[in-house]
Amino acid sequence: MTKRSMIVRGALLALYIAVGIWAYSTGKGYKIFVDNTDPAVAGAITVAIDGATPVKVRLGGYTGIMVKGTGSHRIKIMREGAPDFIGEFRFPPESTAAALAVSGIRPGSEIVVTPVDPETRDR
Amino acid sequence: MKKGLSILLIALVAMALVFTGCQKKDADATQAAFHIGVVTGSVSQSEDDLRGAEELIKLYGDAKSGGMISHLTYPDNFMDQMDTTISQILSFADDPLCKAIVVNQAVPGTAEAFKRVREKRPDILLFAGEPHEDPPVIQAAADIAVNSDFISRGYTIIWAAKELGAKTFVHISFPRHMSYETLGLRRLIMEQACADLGIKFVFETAPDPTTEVGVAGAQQYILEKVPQWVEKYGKETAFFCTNDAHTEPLLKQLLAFGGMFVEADLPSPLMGYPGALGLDLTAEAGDFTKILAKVESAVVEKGGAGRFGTWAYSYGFTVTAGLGEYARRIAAGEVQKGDTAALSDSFAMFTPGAKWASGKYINAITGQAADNHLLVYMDTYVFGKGYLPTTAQTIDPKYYQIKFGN
Amino acid sequence: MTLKADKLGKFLSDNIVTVIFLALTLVAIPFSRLSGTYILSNLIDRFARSSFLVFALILPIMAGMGINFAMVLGATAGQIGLIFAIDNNIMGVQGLVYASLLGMPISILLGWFCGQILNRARGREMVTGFILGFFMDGVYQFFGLYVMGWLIPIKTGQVAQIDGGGVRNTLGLESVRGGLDKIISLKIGPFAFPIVTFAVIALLCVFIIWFRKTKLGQDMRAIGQEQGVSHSAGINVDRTRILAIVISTLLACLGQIIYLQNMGNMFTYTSQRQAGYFAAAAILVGGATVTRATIKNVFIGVFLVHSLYITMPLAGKELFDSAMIGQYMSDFINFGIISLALVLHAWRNRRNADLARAGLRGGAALAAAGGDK
Repeated sequence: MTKRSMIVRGALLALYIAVGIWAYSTGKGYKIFVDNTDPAVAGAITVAIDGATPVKVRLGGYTGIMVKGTGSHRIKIMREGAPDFIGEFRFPPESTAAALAVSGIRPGSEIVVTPVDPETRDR
Repeated sequence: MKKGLSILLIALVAMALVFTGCQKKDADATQAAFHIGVVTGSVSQSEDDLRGAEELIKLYGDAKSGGMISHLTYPDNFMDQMDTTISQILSFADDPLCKAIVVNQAVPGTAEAFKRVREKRPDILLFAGEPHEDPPVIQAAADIAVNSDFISRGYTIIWAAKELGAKTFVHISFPRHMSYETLGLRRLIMEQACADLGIKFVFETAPDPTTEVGVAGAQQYILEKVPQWVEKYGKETAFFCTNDAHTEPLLKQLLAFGGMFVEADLPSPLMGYPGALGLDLTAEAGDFTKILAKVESAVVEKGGAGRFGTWAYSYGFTVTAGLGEYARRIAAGEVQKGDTAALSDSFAMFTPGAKWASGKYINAITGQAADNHLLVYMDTYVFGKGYLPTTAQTIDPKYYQIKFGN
Repeated sequence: MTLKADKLGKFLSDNIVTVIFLALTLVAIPFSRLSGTYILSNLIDRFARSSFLVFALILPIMAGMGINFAMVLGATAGQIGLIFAIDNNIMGVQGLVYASLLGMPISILLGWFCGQILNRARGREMVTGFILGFFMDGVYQFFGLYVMGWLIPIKTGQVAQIDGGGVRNTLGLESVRGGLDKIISLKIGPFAFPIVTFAVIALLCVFIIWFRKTKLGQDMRAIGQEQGVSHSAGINVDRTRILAIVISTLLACLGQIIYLQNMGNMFTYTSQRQAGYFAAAAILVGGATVTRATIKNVFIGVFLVHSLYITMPLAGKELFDSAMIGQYMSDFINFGIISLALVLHAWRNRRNADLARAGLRGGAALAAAGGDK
């Protein structure tokens, strides 16, 4: 094997690993549980995160939604008879699942997201 | 040569476009206000489901000739041809009159097809009967999914056994079945219900017909064992088996040696009884009232009156027809979507005399109830005695809390 | 006999499979009562879904190895990659890249192994490849049901079977569904064009055109013509044949990943089997023979086979008044056509041999009339 082909192969291997690391780190999915448990909120809501297909969350229940990567995500909350709410939240780093209480959202302040154990609430 | 082919291909595309125009033209004759698409298995795969679709066509007419129902079948080897299943279901979205799609059984691919239909036509109602896909998957895609109620029946079968006077309940199955969530969980519920109602629960293992012993071997085992079991546990014993192939020999021996039988895993007068009694039902095909009468007289003749039960109508037949009827009522504006009483009512339309009950599916892990996934069951019919008010029983919520784990 | 009629006769006999298929489709379209928009939008979707897979067959045909039914091995590798991507919860296009990165080494290894075996079964590559596919089924099931879960732990309940051992029978690919198709989806009227998927397919076409011109590509074509002569011309026949299979297996791996991201659902233990049948049917219907295949054949084939898949079940229902028969019809026609193509190939080979012999004898007249013997 010539020196040049060694270098080429080494570079390919490095590229392979680099692409793998990129895919793993940016593509890893995390679960955000959207809670709709506040009795003051009337009725079911529809939630879309990062422009994905909207998901319904019934009153008194929660729905787990997968998001791609930690960091900042855009959330849109739709409710019948009320204007849509659009906000951003940051997924807590170093956790695999987190919960977001719709009742805790106050206009103007940051959306509170708390890490949870996914085993206690699946799906 | 290349030119020739490309010309032909262009012709193909042109034809496709031309017929877009043509199709609109024949749509104006006498037409139903809306269409309902029904997808079932073929005769070789699941006959009862298909007969349900034929019943709907009989009632509301074929969409082709101005009626309401258009019927398709999914491929027999649906595990290999998900592509075809998806495009069959999706083809209904092409019909502007289509207002609802009923798939029974909802074989794998249904959820994906439903998602695609919804992307194109959010107005179409999507109903899934007996889904094969995981509950969360089908719940996310369908408007309503219907399963036979494995949880409630864990209690009601035991309750019915007690009504018949049973002192012991024998549950016949094998490890492969017991590893299924539905079957394994039902067994646990039955055990608990037996303890609560004062019946002795016994688990007996029989060979799995899909292993090398085959159906014949498994049936032979049942034929040999049942007389011993009846002797061991007494005649006041109700038997239950999870496998369809076991049902026929079990019934045959119970009729001969005593013992009781509440209902089969997927109950129908056609399940086990015709074979066990040696009945020829070709003349009665599709007419469940006649089938039931013939089976009943044969059971009573053998001395089984008040000791043998079934569902009076086929479950697969009723689910296809019932979901179709429910879809029609919603599309016609007679009832609201999500009205579960209307669903039970639609089912009952095809089962005169018997009532249906439905409960919500409860996720075994989280305990959350799904609004659009219903578990249904009907009254048990006891030969020589009539219907038991199975669906009128209230079931202790604790049975729904029992969890299946390994 | 005029020259024109003769030409037509030759055209028909050379493209008889395509012509029959086209005729059937043309008949089926009006009977299916489907709208043109529906058929076309479905065709675009299916085209993006499955043409990559069919391209995997071109190189082995070029190298004279017939239809590579062993591409099932590559499809299996792609599925293994996807299983891990789902289990590690990697979403979107990254999930697909991750699956490809895992699947590629596996498919290269399997392709090399397969090439070694096919080199020892010279002249019977197709049937050997077919059986290798079944063999791989067993290995794959052992891997999916035993190795996964016991030796390699499965992390998510979505992938694991309910008793914890092995991979589920059906795997929902929700997290990577449309990962490639939906990056850029161009909407024109009722049609949605998955631009990125089409770009990937176009890139593959360019690759194949380029590859034919390289030294390796030329070698493959030479081997496809005559192995003995190629060998004496100094081409390493065995190595080139193995490379053809390796590339084919690799493409099948990527093709299966593209196919499954479109389907959104995977039958863990049976999805890969369909890949081989479909690709073979498509390329043969497209006018390829067991010895000659081009990019054009792939496009025509995918187009025609899918047109028939879309229309035939409904047309059959309309014609025979039974939903079931339409279903049986499309199966029957599809596999009938594959058989026809293979039989015709054998027949044509013999005819060409006869013609060549007649030509040697100086029977030019016989050769000219050979088309309608």
